[in-house]
Amino acid sequence: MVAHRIVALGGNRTHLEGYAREFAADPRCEIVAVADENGISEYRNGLNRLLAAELKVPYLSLSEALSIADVDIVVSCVDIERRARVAQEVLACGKNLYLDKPLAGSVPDAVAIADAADSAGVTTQMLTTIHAPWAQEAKSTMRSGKLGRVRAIHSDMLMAKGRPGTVPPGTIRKEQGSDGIFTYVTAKRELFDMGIYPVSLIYWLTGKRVTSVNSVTGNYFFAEHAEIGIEDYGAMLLTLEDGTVATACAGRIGMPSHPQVGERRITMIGETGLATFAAADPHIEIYNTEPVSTSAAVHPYDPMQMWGSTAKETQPPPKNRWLTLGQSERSDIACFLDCLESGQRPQVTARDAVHHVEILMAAYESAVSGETVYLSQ
Amino acid sequence: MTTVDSPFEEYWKRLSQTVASAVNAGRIGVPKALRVVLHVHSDSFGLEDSIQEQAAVAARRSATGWFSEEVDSESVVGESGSPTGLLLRWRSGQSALLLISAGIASTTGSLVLMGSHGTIYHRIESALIRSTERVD
Repeated sequence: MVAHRIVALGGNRTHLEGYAREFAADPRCEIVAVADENGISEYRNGLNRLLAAELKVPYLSLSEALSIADVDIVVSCVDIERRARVAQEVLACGKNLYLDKPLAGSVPDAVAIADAADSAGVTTQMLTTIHAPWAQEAKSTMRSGKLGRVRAIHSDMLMAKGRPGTVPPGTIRKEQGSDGIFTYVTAKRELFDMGIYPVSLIYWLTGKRVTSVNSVTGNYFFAEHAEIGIEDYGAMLLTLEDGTVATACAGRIGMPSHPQVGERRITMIGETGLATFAAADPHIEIYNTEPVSTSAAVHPYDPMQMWGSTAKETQPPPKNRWLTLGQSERSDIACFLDCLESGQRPQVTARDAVHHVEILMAAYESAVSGETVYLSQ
Repeated sequence: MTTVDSPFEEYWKRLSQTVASAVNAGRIGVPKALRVVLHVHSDSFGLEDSIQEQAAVAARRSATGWFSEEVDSESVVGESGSPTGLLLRWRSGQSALLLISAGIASTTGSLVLMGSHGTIYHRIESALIRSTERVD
C-alpha cells in the first residue's frame, strides 16, 4: 500500500512531465489524477489531457481532484500567472504542496502562497538545485570553514538549449520590466526562469537576504525571445545583508554553447581560499569518430528545447562528449517526501521562495532603470 | 640585467589576445555578454583594493576590445578590503559581470564570453601562470 496519493496539476510542456514521472517512480507514491482549473486554454487543456493519458490516470477539474479521498500531495506546475490562485485553493484543502519554480510571477502572489501555506500548516517545497551533489558539496565546504568567512559568491545558470544566432542584428534590448506575464509557447523570460536557480542557491548557501540588486537583461541569442519582447539573458549584481557581494548570470545561450546541458556553477570566495563547484565536474571527455552535431531539428512549439515530450519528436543529438562522474544523489522530490514523512522542514519552502521572487522582480526593476534597487531586510 | 614581468599581467595579455583572435574570426558570432570571476594572489597585505582595481581595469579593457566599444556605464559593489562586483553596460546592449578579489589564495578564476552563436570558456589556474623572466 502506497503512503502518498498524489494529484498532479499541469500537463505536457510543463515540468510536470518529469515531476509526475519521478513521483510515480517512487514506491511511496501513486499518481491518482492529473488536473487543472476549468476555463483554461484549449492548448493547455489538450496538453494536460495528453499527459494524463500517458500516465494512465484520469484528467479531472481541480475541484474534483482535490475532493479525492486520501490525496495528501499536490504537485503544481500550472501557468505562472495562475500559481497563487491554484496554490491557495490546494492549501485551503490541507494538501501538502510541491511547487514548480519560480514560486509566482509577482511578490504579492508569492506572499499569498506562503501565507496560505503557513495557515494550512502543511509541507511545501519548491524545486531548486540544492540537492544536487555539487550544491551539497558547496554547502559542506561553506560549513566546514575551510574558506574562512565567505565574502563573495557567484553562480551561473546558462542553459545550452535552443538554436542560437537568430537574434536580428542590431537588436538592443530596452527592458520594460515585468508585466506579470511569463507564459509563452516558444520561449520563456530567462532572467526569471533561469535566474531562479542561482538566486535560490545563493540564498540557501548563505542564509543571507539580498539587500540590493543591480541588473541587466539582453536579447543576445534568439529571434524567438526578441519577437515576443522578452529577454534571453540576465546578469545580477547583488549585495547580501552582511555585505557579502554576490553575482549571478542566467539565461539560455544555445545548444552548441556547452558540451552538456549548460553551465551550472558556483564559486565561493572566502578570506582564506576559494572553491568552485560545477554540475559538470568532475567529468571525463571523449573524443572519437562519432559524428558531432551541434544542432537539432527545431520543434515549432518548442524551439528552445524546453520539454522532453517535444524532444521525442525532434530527437536532438545526444551531448555525450563529457560524462560526469556518477555520484549518488537524493533527488529534490525524494527529499520532499522524506521531509513529509519525518516532519522535518524542507530547505526551500514556499516562504523561503518569496525572497527569490523579490530578488527577481527587483532585478527587472533595476534592468529598466539601470539603477540599484534596494530590498527591505 | 634580469627582468621579471608580472606573471598574471602577462597571462591576462595572452588570454585577451587569444580570445580576441577567436572573436575576430567570428568563432562565436557577435560577442554579447562577458562573465569573469577572478581572484588574484597577493602577498602584500593592505594592497588588495589596488590589485583588484588593476585586475578590473584589465578585464574591462579586454571586454572593450572584444566588444569593439567603450563601456557606457558601470555599477560597482563591495566594501574596501573586500571583493568587488562590477556590472558594465554598453550602448549596443552588451554587458559584463565581473567578480574580482585579491588575497593570499592562489590566482584562480573563470571566464565565459557569450556570443550570438557560441561561447568561449576559460579556467584560470595558478599552475598555468608562470613567471616570465628575461635576461638582458
